[in-house]
Amino acid sequence: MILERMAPENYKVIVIGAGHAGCEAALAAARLGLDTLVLTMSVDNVAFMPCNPHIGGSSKGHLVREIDALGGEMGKNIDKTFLQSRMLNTSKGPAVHSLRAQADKLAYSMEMRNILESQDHLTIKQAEVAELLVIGKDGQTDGSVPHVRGVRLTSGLVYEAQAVIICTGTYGQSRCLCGESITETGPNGLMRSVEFTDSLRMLGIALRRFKTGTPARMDGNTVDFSKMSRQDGDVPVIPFSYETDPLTVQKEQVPCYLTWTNEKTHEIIRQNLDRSPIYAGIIEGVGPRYCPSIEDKVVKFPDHERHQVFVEPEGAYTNEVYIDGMSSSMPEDVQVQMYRTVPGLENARIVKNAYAIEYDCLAPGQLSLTLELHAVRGLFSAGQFNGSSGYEEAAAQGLVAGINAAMQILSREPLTIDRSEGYIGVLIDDLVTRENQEPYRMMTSRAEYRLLLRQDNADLRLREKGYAAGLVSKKQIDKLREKRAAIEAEKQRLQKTVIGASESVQKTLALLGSAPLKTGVSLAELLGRPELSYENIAPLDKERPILSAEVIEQVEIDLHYAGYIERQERQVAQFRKAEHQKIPEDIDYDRVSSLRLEARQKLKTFRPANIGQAMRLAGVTPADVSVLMVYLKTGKEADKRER
Amino acid sequence: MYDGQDTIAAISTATAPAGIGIIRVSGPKAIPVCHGMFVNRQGEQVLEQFAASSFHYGFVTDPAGEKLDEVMCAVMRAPHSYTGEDVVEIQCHGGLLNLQRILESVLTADVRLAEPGEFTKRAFLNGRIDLTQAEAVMDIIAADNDLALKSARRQADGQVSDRIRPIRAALLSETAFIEAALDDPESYGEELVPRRKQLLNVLDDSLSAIDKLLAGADEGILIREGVKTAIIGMPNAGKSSILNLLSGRERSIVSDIPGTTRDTVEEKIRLGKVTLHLIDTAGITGAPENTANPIERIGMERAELALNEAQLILFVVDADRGITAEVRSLFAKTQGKRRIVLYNKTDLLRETQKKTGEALAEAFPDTPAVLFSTVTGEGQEELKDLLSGMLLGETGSSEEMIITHVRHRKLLQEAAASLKEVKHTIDKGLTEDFYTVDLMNAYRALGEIIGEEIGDDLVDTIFSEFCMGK
Repeated sequence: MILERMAPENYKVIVIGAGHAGCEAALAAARLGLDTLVLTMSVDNVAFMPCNPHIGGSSKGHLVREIDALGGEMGKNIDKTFLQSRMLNTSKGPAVHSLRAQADKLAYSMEMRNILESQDHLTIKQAEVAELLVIGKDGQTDGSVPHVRGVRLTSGLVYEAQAVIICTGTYGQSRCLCGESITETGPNGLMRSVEFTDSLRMLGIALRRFKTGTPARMDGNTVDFSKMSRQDGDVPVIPFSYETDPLTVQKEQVPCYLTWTNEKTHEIIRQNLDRSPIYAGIIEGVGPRYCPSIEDKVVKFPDHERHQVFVEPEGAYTNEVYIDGMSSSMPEDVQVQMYRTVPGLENARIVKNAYAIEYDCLAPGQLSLTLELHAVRGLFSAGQFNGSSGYEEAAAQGLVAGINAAMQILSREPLTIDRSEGYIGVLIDDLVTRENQEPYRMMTSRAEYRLLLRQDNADLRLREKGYAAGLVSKKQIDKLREKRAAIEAEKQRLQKTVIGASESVQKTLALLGSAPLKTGVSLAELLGRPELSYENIAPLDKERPILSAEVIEQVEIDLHYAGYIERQERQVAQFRKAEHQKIPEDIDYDRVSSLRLEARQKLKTFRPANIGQAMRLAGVTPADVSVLMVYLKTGKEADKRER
Repeated sequence: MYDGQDTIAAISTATAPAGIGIIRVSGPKAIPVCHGMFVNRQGEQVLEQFAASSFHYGFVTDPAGEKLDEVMCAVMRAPHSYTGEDVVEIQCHGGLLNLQRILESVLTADVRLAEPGEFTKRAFLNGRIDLTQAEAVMDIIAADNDLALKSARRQADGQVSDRIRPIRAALLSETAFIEAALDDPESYGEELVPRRKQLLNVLDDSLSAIDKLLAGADEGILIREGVKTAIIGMPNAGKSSILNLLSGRERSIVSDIPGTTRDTVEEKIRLGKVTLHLIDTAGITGAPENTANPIERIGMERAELALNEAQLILFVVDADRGITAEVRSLFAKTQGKRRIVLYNKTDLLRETQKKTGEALAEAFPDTPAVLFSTVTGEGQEELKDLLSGMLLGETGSSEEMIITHVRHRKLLQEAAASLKEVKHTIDKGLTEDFYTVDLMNAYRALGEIIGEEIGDDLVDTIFSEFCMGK
């Protein structure tokens, strides 16, 4: 038994883990002036990217932009360390455009470590946490929950704090599987955490096992890129961060390559399925549907003759390439055979085997929208521990948890983002409200108000919230407010500027393939035509002011898709009605008669903050919600009468 | 299953003297409570042993064991009852006092008085019926004509839901496909364009299904709600006599003095298959502001208001006096409304009948007209037929009359408008990411009709309209 000793310093906030969630959480708390300690198993792996070597992508790019708008670090860090950048989905509407950048993994990690080290009020320490300490665990007869006291390290050292943020990612009692070979480690052979999650179980916090996986890394010298199609980055590069000067990101980029699997690949997989730990039943954790292993793809889509494989650089410092699209937990010998069927990989040598990893994470129903756990006051959690997957999802939660831990300590209003305000809102609401049966990945289809939640307007949506929290400076918010005013002014000008059906106007329209005017119209109306753009109607708009590209972009989108945006806004108004019907925290669901048993249990566990959230709970029917609504209006009065 | 702790009871028959009255008790304590107050012919408490869905003769007793009434008792066990809970229905003698006394002895510590509509609400909450069916139960109770009753029954059978569910399912499946393809272009992306044809088919099918429902909706709503009908005419044209004749009682005061009716008088009547909300009005002579008598002026203003709100005008002309310029100018005010001209007082016309009949027929050639007499009853049958034809369309059978609620019609229209927007979006050449905003709106609107989506305080509204005991 190791003796408990009190640590020599005091902190307000302790962040367990220095991955993408931990970094954002720690930076947010420290930037809000609270002394913050980050505990990590390996200080050389801060902001480590153990899986894919890119940041952003469909809907994840939105998250990075939102993190940046709120005052987070991820966008700035990737802008400094990317190797290639592309805007995806440009053939579709602006709502699904998404930025994605290949990262230099080592540079990304080093740069983030540097940012943490240079941050006031922030201390990094390499240590393993053995136990979460709380006050008031026993004898809670008044229904109040225990409060966080701090953590005990495996060395016996005790750090006290007012808030603890769990950002332990996939390290909780994790094990890695590569066919029959099972190792009890964290990702990439790093040390796993053994005692910590058990201490959470002791506090009555329910955990479960999730699984995720990663593909092999190859020696780039042994890959024949001539057999693959090359994919270059965009010119010019658009930075993620609103703070990054676009001029600083125009640089030579590193290409990626696209190749495909084929029937031979699939045949090898099918023949060896019995040796895959998932199909052989060795893995108990539930894997993600949306980032499936190549085994899953072959089994689930037997009709697909081929699957895409992207070969991406791991960094400028190494030859290693990442084989995106072929994550696997097949045994080593099968992996070699399987990868070598892919054009360009015939002679490739594996540097690191693909593997699946299984880990402890939080069971659903225990989080509030501030990412504080219901069970312990002052205990927050973020990232893969919450059942999500992905660096961006983790960072977004880390930021929100960090801000809210600080807000609680400072007795200020918490930061919450709802589903109509951001992908972060969708992400957190889904993690809090839904019972996800697999690691949760952000997707554009999850955002029901997608047309409003674009990557191009994250600043307009969320910067004010970042400013209110204290992570966005006065200068930054002034810049945003100026932009907003300029957009409004230009929209109004276009609405007021009416052009007549003159001959020259008709001629210009004909040239643009647009129908002639019957009567005079405003330029704003004209921009509603799909074939017209702000740029190509310039000849019709003589008194146009000089505006920045970002302002023009917003004006154009707002007017071009006006009908859709208005309809979506009506849907949001409807949604808000339900979100604004708050459910009191102290509601006693046993007093709500006529609730079905299942609904009552779900409501008691998940403790939804409002009617809208209650509606989204699985097992709670519209009829149950109706009962709840009736109770909230009339039942409380009836309760009073009874008393 | 529902696990509400409380048991409710109410008198479920009309609170008017009648041969039989029914007290309904529903909830977990229904059987034990009734067991304690029911004895069979032999004076034994046996209700708990009764088989599910059975009917028994016996007596209701008060707490002291005193027999209150001779009754028939029906026992239904969950979930095979109207509410889906244990239910006991006591059929007793229908005197009001008797019913009250029995109800009072049911209302013990374990049983409380039901709120209006609460039995049906429980049926809804227990998943026995959906929202449209609950709405329909209310309509069946309130139905005042055969067609309204028939369509309410259809709705109660779940016909509205049966029509709407497949539309929703098809829309959801298309939306899900688009979303999956946007998220995972590798697996589905290539199928997006070929799939567009199927989407267009689904849109067209859904729109025609909705149109079909909407086609009968105007009629259906008229049937359920009745038609607001204003009786309009010059003073002393006989408007009040017509109201009295159609309603079968002396509702309006009738005299030979022009301007006897000062206020508007309303009466609900059933005429053939149609229910009319008849409004008798003061006669209108010129503009009300030119009238010196203030009471007369108010009466005329009200008459004009009734005219504006009416869905149907019965325009009464004194056939004896013929069509004057004043009549023509008043008739002009009814422009744009459905109207029927009643040439009244034909009984006074015997000798000059031929001449007048011709002249009258030419007076308002595009408006259906009936020669009418409140004295002889002439024209009454003709008016009925004319009304049915006008309001119920050619067939009058209304097989497709499934939608009878303004709420449903509004939501169907909203859904149809959204689906048309999707087609418009496709025509404009916009990409799939723009389809879902309107697809999902249509999906939600349809869901609101059947209560699978929650509208604003919908449930509150619906159940608050219920009467006690149902």
